[in-house]
Order: sequence, then C-alpha cells, then structure tokens
Amino acid sequence: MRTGVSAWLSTVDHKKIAVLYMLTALFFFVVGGLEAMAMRAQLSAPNLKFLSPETYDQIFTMHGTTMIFLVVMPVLVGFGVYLVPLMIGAGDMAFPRLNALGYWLTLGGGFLLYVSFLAGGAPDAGWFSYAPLSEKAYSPHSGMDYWALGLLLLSAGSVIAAVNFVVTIATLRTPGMTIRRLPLFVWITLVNSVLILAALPALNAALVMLLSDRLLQAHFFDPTHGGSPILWQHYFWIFGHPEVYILVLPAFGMISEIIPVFARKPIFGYGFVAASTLAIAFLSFGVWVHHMFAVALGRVFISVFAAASMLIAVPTGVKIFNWAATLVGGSIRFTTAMLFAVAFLLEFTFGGLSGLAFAVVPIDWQLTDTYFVVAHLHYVAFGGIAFALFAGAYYWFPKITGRLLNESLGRWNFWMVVIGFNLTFFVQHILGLMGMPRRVYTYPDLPWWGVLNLISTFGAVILGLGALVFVANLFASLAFGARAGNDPWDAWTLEWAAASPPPPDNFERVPPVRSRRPLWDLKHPESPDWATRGGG
Amino acid sequence: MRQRARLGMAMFLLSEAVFFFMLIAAFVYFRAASLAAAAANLNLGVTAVYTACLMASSFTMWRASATGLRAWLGGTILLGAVFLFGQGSEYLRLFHQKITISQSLFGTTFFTLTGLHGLHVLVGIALLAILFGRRALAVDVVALYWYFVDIVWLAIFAIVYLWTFR
Repeated sequence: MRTGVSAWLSTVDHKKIAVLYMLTALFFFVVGGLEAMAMRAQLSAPNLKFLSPETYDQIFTMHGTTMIFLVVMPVLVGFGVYLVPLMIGAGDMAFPRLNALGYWLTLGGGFLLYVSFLAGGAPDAGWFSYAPLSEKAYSPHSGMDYWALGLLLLSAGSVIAAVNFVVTIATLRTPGMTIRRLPLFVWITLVNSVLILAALPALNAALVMLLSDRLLQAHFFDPTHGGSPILWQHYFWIFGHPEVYILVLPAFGMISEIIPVFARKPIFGYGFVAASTLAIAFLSFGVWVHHMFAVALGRVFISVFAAASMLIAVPTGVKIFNWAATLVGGSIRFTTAMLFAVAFLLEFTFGGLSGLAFAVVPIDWQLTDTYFVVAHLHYVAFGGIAFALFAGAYYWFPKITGRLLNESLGRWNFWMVVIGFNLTFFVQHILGLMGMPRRVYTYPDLPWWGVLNLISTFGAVILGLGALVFVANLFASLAFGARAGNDPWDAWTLEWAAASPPPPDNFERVPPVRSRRPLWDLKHPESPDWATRGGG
Repeated sequence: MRQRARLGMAMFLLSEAVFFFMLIAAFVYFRAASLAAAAANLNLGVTAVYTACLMASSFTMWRASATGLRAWLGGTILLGAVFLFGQGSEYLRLFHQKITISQSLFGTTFFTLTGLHGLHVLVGIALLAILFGRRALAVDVVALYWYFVDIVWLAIFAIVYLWTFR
C-alpha cells in the first residue's frame, strides 16, 4: 500500500483521480481569474497602458482557453468521475487505469499551454484562434503550436473520460438501477459523453490541419495558396457549439440533483429532463453557423441555422420549467448550495435569453464582436455553469471530505459572487449596445464608456474576492469543518449511502434499488416510492 | 470484462469515425481545386492492388479472432505491412515528382488524409504484434479496430481514387 504523495501519483481510485481533476481545475481557476483581473485593470479607464496590446491579446486568449479547457472541462469530468460510480452503486469506473491516463493527459495539456509563456510567448489569437491570424505568417512565434498541441492532449483526455463514462454506466449499474431509474446527473453524463465523442474529434481534425499548416507548410487555412480560413471557422464551431452544451449539460445534471433535495420533492417531469437532454445534444450539432452570421454565407443557409438556434432554446426552456415546477409547493431549505442553484436558474435564464438575440440575424450583425457577446457568454458560463459548480461544491464537499463547508462563509461567498458577477457583466450589455468592440486592449474616452467600464472592474474585484472566500472556505472547512456524516442533506441517491468519505471500494453493501429514490425507500419503509409513485 | 472492452473500443471508434469524416470532408471541400493534380499523379491500378491486400487482411483478422490461431494473426500483420509498403512507395513516387504537403492543395489534403490513415494502420500492426507475442485475450477488441481502419480506407479509396478516375 503506497502512502503520501506517491499514493496520489499512482492512484487508479476514481475518487482520488476525481479530486486530482478538481484540484487542478481549482488551480487553473485562480490563474484564469487573475488573467481576468489583469484585463479588468487594463480596461478600468480609457486609454490606459497598464498592459501592452500584445500582452492583452495573450491574456484574453489564455483566459478563455484556461477557463474552458482547464477549469470547466476538468472540474465537470472530476465531478462525473467521483459521482457516477457512487450514484450507480459501483466500486469504480469501468477502466480505472484509463481513468488515470485521462487525468494525466489533461494535466499535460495544461502544462503545454502554460509553458508557452516561457517559450517565446503565449497564444494570442483568441480561444477560437481564427485563421489566418493563427497561421505562421501572422503568428510566427510558437504560442499557437503550444495551443494546438495542448488542446490535442486535453481533447484526448476528454475522449478517454467519455469512453469510460459510457462503458461504466452501460455495464456497472447495481441490480435494479434501470435506465429509467438513473439519477439525472448520471443520465446527463451519459448523453454528454456521447456528445463529447461526436464533437471533440472535429476539434482534433481542425487542430491537426492547423499544425500541418504551421509546421509542415500545408495550406488548409492559408488563402494565399487556395486554402480557406472559413473552413477553420466551420470546423471550430462544429466542435465549438456542441462544446458549449458539453460544458453546460453536467451543470444541468447537478442542478437536477440539488433542487429536488432542498425542495423536498422529487424532480418534476424526470422524463422531460432526460428527453430534453437528448434533444439538446441532437440539435447542438445544427446551430454552429450562428457564430458565423457575419460571414457572407448565403441567406437560406444562415436562415436554417437561425431557426435551429431558436429551436434549441425550447428543450433548454423545458428544463427551466422542470426546475421551477420542482420548487413550487416544496418546503425549501436555503442552504448555500440551494442559494447558488436558485441563482443559477435566474442568471442562466437571463443568459439564455440574451443568447437567443443572436439567433436573430440582423441583431447578430449589429452585436457580433461587441461586449454584448462577452456579457452573454459570461451569463451562461459564469451565471450558469460556475453557479451550478458552486452549488455542486457545497452539496458534495461533505461526501468527498467528510466535512461540511462553512455556511457563514458560504453566505459571504454567495452574495459577493452574485453582486460582483452582475455588476461586472450586466453593464457590458450596455457597452456592447453602444458598440464597444471586444478583444481590443483599450478604448477612447467616449461618453459613459469610462464609467461603465469602471463599474465593471469594480464588480470584478468583488467577484474575485467572493471567489477567494470560496477557496478559503474549502481549506478552512477541510481542516475545521463540522463532521458531515454519511447523509447530511437527507438525500435520496446512492452516494449518500456510502461513508463520507467513501472507503476505497465505496460500499459495504449497496442498498436495493426499486425506484429513483432508493434512500427514500430505505428511510421510509411505510411509504416507499416504488409503492406510491411506481418504480420508474 | 470482454463486453466492457469491446464497448469501450466501439465508443473510441465512434470518435475516430468523426475524426476521419472531418478529414475526408476537407479533401472534398478542396476537391475542385485539386482534382487535376489528383488525376495526373495518382495511380488507380497499383493502389487497387494494395487496397485488395488490406481488404484481405480483414478476412484474416476475422479468422484470427474466430480461431485464435497465430498464423492468421501473422497473415494479418503481413498484409497490413504490404499495404503500408504500397502507400510508402506511392509517397516516394509523388515526392520524386516534387509533390509534397506544402506544394499544393492536393498535396495538403492527400498527405494529411492518407498519412493519418497510414498512421492508424501502423498502430494496428503494433497492436497485432503485441497480440502475436503475448497471445493476449483481446484479439476481438483489436479486430474491431482493424475492421474500422479497413472501412475508413475503403471510404478514402472511393473518394480519393475512384471518384477522381470515374
């Protein structure tokens, strides 16, 4: 039995690997957050020279790439790797060693991305690296090569994790855990894994083509030799838009677990949540061109994608109604986890509606490449995904560590993040409508631009401090937090039947599964779900 | 355990299918610009022979996983190697005509697509060699991979060669 550091480096236990994923994501969350702070400092007043234009380009490229590929992807995979085996009553993932490989590839990809700073300059063409800016002629230093190679490793890690999830969920469910009784987080992880398997290879293909261009002088995206920069846009967004759903679906899964427990009601319309996930996954491959409306692509062509982009709001809206209807008539407990879950509903809905604006082609033409886009995507990415992750952290930290996160610090964390987030990004809608372009390191002193940007920077400081409270809470509660016990929230899914933290093989005995809420059945033998609600 | 491994491989191959679909789509996207170069420089007859070898290797692979005999594994490795030899000699011939990945759009799409496929054949041969040495139980899992690589080649052969010379 290895101990200490070598036990962590050599582990194939899904719980330890998951914690490695989460700690890695936490580290890069701090790094990406500091990059955001640097940008907001630069933008706090007109005509500042705090960052050079070149540095600013590198910082916003690395901020986006970091938050997407080194924070949200790893932390979501981490939650999945931790929870899926426990929720289906299994001892581990189907392929434990492959699981470890996926993590180490992810860490290697992060290392490659950041070593670029030492190797002549970080990538600087934005997180979607449009050609020909990303080509050798316009980005001659090696940053783009590190970007492409790093993303290839990260993508390989994600594909490996997705393969493992599908096989785990297909073959390792405890007896009685039928597909219609799967916890929604597991259901959504299954659909999401298929989405990863179908979408990430499009990125890989584009990256291989970009590397061929840069390192072997091929001409895929090089217009001077007949290549096509628009092909890069197509390939990137064929990956990129499903990727948006790959990032948000697991957040939906967490919300679908947390809201029912703290509303003391089973989820309203389980079948609708599951089916709308399938619809989102399917439609997500038919909307990528809405990132390219400003490219002259033909009226009929873009109309089809505009329609699909409106259509995908329907299954997403269905979920919002499911969660809202679960709240109605519930006896709600406002723990910090639940506060974040409810805030998620509001912020994500707002971000969804501002996103719907882009499906209207003329509005897109007006707003594309302005701060309205930045505001929209952060309402989805932070107000949506990050809020759900905060909720998930407060909800599952006790299971992972055996200790509760401090609720007083949790309130500070919550209110600072909510206030800071909305101050930062709400005003950016207005700046975008006024025409302020994104990705430019400074701006002239036009009426209101300076004061709105100052408000945004002020909000970012509050948001950053709120995030620091969260990090402090993690470490303080790990050392001094109250003991959680196996089931601190009186919850219903199988992970709460294991010890906190669970032993290496997870369960002494897996409770029988005869409905969607096996622990409810166990605690209420007088009125089990399988008798009163049907087995599902 | 066998079922798990097969399902895992099938899921991996699903992602590989998308990967090759995108590369083939890129070839088709630039087809109009590279058609003349393709018709002038590719050799349909010779490549058809090597293609037949690769197809035959799917048969020997199937026998290897059905019977567990090493001779069939050896035959599969040999046929795969013959295919790679054929691809290598075609590359050399093109290089002598100064056609490279950087020379034209045809070179860019042709070498990227067939090169990545050849790399997959090479990985398949390495996997088969491991099976040949260790008589592991995973023959049917590697067989899935081998069939997939063969099917991808059929698609490439149809689009890059047959369509050019129709």
